[in-house]
Amino acid sequence: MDEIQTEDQVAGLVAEVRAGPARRDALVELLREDAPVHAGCGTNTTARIRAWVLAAFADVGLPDEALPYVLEELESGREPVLVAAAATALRGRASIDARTAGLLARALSNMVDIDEPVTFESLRPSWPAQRPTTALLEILACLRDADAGPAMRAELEQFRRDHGAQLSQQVRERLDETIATVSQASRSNAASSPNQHGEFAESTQRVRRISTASSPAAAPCCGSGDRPVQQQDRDVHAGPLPDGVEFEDQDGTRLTCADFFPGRPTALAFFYTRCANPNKCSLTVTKLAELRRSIDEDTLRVAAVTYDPGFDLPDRLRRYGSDRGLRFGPSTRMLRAVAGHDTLRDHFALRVGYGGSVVNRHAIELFLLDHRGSVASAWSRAQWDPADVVEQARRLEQLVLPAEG
Amino acid sequence: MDVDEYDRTYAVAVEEAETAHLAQGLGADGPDEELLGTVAATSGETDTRVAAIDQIRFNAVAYPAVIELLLTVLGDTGDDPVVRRAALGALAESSFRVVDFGPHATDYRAILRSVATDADLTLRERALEFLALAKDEYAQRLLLDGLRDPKKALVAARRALQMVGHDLHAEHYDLLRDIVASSEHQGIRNDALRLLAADGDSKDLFARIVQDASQDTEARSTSAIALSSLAPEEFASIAQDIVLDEDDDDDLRATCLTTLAHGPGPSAEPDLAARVLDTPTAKSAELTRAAHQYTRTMAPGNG
Repeated sequence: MDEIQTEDQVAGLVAEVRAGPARRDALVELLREDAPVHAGCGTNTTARIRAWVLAAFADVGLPDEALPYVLEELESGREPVLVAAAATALRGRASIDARTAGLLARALSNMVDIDEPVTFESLRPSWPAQRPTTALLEILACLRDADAGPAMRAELEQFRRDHGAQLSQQVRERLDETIATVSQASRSNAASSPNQHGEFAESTQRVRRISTASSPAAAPCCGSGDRPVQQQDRDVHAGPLPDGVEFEDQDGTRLTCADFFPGRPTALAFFYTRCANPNKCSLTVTKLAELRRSIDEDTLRVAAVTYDPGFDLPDRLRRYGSDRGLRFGPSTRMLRAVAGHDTLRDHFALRVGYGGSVVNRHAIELFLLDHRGSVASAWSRAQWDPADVVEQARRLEQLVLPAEG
Repeated sequence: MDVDEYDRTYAVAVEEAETAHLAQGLGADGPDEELLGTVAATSGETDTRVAAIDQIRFNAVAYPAVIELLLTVLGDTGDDPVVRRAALGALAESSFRVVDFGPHATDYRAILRSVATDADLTLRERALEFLALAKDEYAQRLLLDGLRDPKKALVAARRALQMVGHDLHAEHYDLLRDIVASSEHQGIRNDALRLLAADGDSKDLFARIVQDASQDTEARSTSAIALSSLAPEEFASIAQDIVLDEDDDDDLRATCLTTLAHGPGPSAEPDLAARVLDTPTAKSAELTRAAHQYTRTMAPGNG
């Protein structure tokens, strides 16, 4: 899909796929943060393009490969057009499972204060729009059609009590309609799904992981059959970090990969201080601080590397980490690549795009590196749980120690 | 007046204002139907309708019927622009009460987008401003289209630049660099430089401008401050040379001294200001003040 570089080409491809849905997989590539069409775009433009592509899946069917992008928006998205598009895309799915319904409920909470009118009439819509909608309306439409169970009804009723007064009349009506529909569905399904409540409640907390297939430590990640769908949508390079990458930490100390990574496992997250989504970088660094408190420095290093090395100077890194409870030390650092940032981006196949010098879009990304600095596990797009990382790090340590002992 | 006294005075003033407005347009039982009728009457006198809006605007957000009427007036392109401006003002005021205004926020946003291309310049400029503050994609698209092609411009270039600048994630840095390179209007050029201050790709541009004595002083000062944020070490080296150059502009030298003292860069020479003050040439009051301040900041115990 590298030949798709302009909005006109995107519009053309979407029109083609609508005419012949067999080619719908071609659209998935346009959702990648580093797809050429997003290069040089501002955040809003790239969101609008992605939303147009996502919304098309409602008509042509939503393939598994696109599902992680949809779930990511529902779980962590803060751009109404993208969250609305993600909810719209789910119409292209034959059914919506309880886990997805849980993420839709989370999206309701994410959007309640920031909902705004959107439309999917064209790639570059003008206003007034003929068919405006909003993220909340689209989410509720999905939930209305979901077979979500009594926990969902309770959750929606709680949502109405908490937020009803601040919802528009149209959204309130859709919410009431959804509650009524879910109530009926839950009555009809209660007998056949006795454990639905527990399963649904769990779904809002669940974390997805992907792992590189070659790593022995990766096996436990992938072995759980009930894990939500998550494609292995990256080609992380095997082996330790390459030469030529030089870092500077939050105190201005320069170090190479060889100085920092080998010898013990490392939890390595990516972020940038200018990220405007509180569910992404700010939360990532806050969780890194929690991770740091959960496991000692001799067992696991913790590092956060910025996507924005030109702007995130040491002083900014230090303040950003400190403000989120990160206690720095020799094995706990925030880093910017002063040389080899592109090498780093290529090595980890980072899911980040740039509009000039500023990040226009990125995924949530955490890597667990082994004692050689090679990627052992990766958490991508979905929120990760520090306890899960600790568990994996300890497992990794147990795998390494006998071999070296 | 101490803080407690101020709080008491403020509370009394608010209560009096509420009472006064309740006595006017918004009674205890809700909006005065006659006033609403006056506002809604598109054939009415402009002044009368604007006066009616003034009477119902206070605490309007508590009454959905009032907000809905104001939205209708604002969105009616055939209505009197002066009345529509008054409606926009009242709505903007109400929208600051974010929670109370929540039920109307999406309708308001949609109507603002429609007004962004209105025939009335004042209305569209104000609508674009509100939308740009909210980092609205449609507004940014309209503004950038206008900056790229003056035939599509909805507002003056300088206003458009200011509005686009509300969002550092907008795709405007290439455009801003073009403006710096080509604009003959120094004010627009300086605005563009200010907005580039967060752009890492503009470091070299700032370094060039700050060292070029033929450039406008404000442009050089803006560039100095931006460079100190983007490349503190490079700035420190350049700034020290400027500070010690008696032929350079005193305002710029003062800016550099102050930025060296308080900016994020490496520790500057403690005696830099003393070297400035020791020179026999006449110095501006601003430079002298900056030098003394620098000396105090660099004194042991203040670092």
